[in-house]
Amino acid sequence: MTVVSRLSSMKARHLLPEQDQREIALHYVIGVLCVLACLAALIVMASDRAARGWAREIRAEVTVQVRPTGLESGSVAAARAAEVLAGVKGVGQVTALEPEKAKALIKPWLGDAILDDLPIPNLVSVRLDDKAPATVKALTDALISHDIDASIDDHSVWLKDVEQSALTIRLISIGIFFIIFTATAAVVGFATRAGLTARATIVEVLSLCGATDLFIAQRFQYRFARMAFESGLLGAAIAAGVMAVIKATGSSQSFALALPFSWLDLLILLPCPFLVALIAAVTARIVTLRLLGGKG
Amino acid sequence: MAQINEKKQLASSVTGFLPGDDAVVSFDNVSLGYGATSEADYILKSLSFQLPAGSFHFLTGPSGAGKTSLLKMIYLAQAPTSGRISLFGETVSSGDRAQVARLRSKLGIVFQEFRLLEHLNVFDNAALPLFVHGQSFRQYRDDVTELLTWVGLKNQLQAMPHVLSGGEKQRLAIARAVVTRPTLILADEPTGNIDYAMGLRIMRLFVELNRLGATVLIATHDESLVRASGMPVLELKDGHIVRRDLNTTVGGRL
Repeated sequence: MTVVSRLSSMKARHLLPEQDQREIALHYVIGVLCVLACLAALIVMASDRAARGWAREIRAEVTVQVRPTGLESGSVAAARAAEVLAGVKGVGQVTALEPEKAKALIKPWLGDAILDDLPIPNLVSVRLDDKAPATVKALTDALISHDIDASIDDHSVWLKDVEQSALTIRLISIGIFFIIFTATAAVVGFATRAGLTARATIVEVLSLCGATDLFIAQRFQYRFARMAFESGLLGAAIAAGVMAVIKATGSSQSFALALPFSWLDLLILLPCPFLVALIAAVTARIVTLRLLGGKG
Repeated sequence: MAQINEKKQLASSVTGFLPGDDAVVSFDNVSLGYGATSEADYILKSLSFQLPAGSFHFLTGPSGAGKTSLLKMIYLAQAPTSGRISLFGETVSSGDRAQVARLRSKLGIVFQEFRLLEHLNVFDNAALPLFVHGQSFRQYRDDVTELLTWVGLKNQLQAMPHVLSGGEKQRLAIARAVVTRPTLILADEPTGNIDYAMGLRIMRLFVELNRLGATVLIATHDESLVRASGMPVLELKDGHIVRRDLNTTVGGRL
């Protein structure tokens, strides 16, 4: 085999030398940022699911407070209200809360001493039909038509709080995403400047060989995009591993309620390497073109 | 017509070259100050000259005379403080990066310190300008091999630059500079880092390239080499051109 036949085609990526220590550090930083971004994405998915679950639960139930009239006792009035409400279309299960049960609920906070003197409300818990729930107006009309004095709490105050909390979590997560990705862009921008300085001779030689600024920018663009993609892939894999460990080992009732992870959530990690590669490519391109253009 | 010929003769007597459309480099009242406010402190002062196509010149002068600065302005790495520069009939406009790339693709530049890419082998270094201009390996493989054979590097195609001697590095740098068959070859002290014998050999390469049609301008302070070559000289001193030889001795004694 002759020397000439052993020659191989030069690749565009070979124009910039293989990575140095600075680029290994950059790999690490982008990887860490991607882990944080991916964990933030997984948490927002789980917390959003939890918030939607809580809202659904709250919407599915109303509480009716019955005020006895005339000689009727509270228990009897509550039982009568429960019977009326059970007949309304769109109502599932109806349960009149017995005074003794209500006392048992508040006993841990108030103790025995004053419990007997407290006016315990007569409550009826109404579970609405999931598909076609009865409206508050329909329930009110049914109670009025049977001369039952009652007020209905549809938990809208709680619902508003839960929805507000879910929105806050979403906004915080979007903010975290923005911060992480701008940090990624800043890190890549800094690394591009450092890379241009470290490879000033190569850039100059390419330029003197007639390379356009765009040609040189593309070399840095591909280099940093590839690096960011690899880091993003690693970051997404680590975040997926963390989620898998939490789901497999941390499945206590309270944790599962707060962050109900689903295996399908892992799909949201797929765009991460591509997104971070895109950010790196655009940043490296803009910074290189700006720096080369500034040279005049 | 007689008036035009008279003007040409007058220009020839002043600049040493006949003005015309075939000027590869044209300096019109060009000065360079590197931030100096007074014209007296400028490195180069009101230079006006032309290099006709196919000419060969040594650019000489003492250290600090502005030889490198003059070359930098020609290969567009330095903008003049004032005046107008034209390359290949095209006026250079400051800040036009696309024009810089386009004009540089017609130049071949050789430096004293070689400026080879240490992570690329001999073949890839020589092929770099062709690769930059989008040619494929299949397109340039034979040409580059032939060129490296011509400069005596056929047996080191896959060697890395750090194993080459100074003379070999300079021949590789020349190969890279001429691989695109440039219209204008600029060399800044190309024999500064090599011995006299190798220097002469390198100079013969430049003369050969000139015979093949390239315009050549070589900055050097090596007077013995210039004398030995017998080639025309453009001499700089205190920011002015103090000597202009006519380009009538193509080939010289080399």
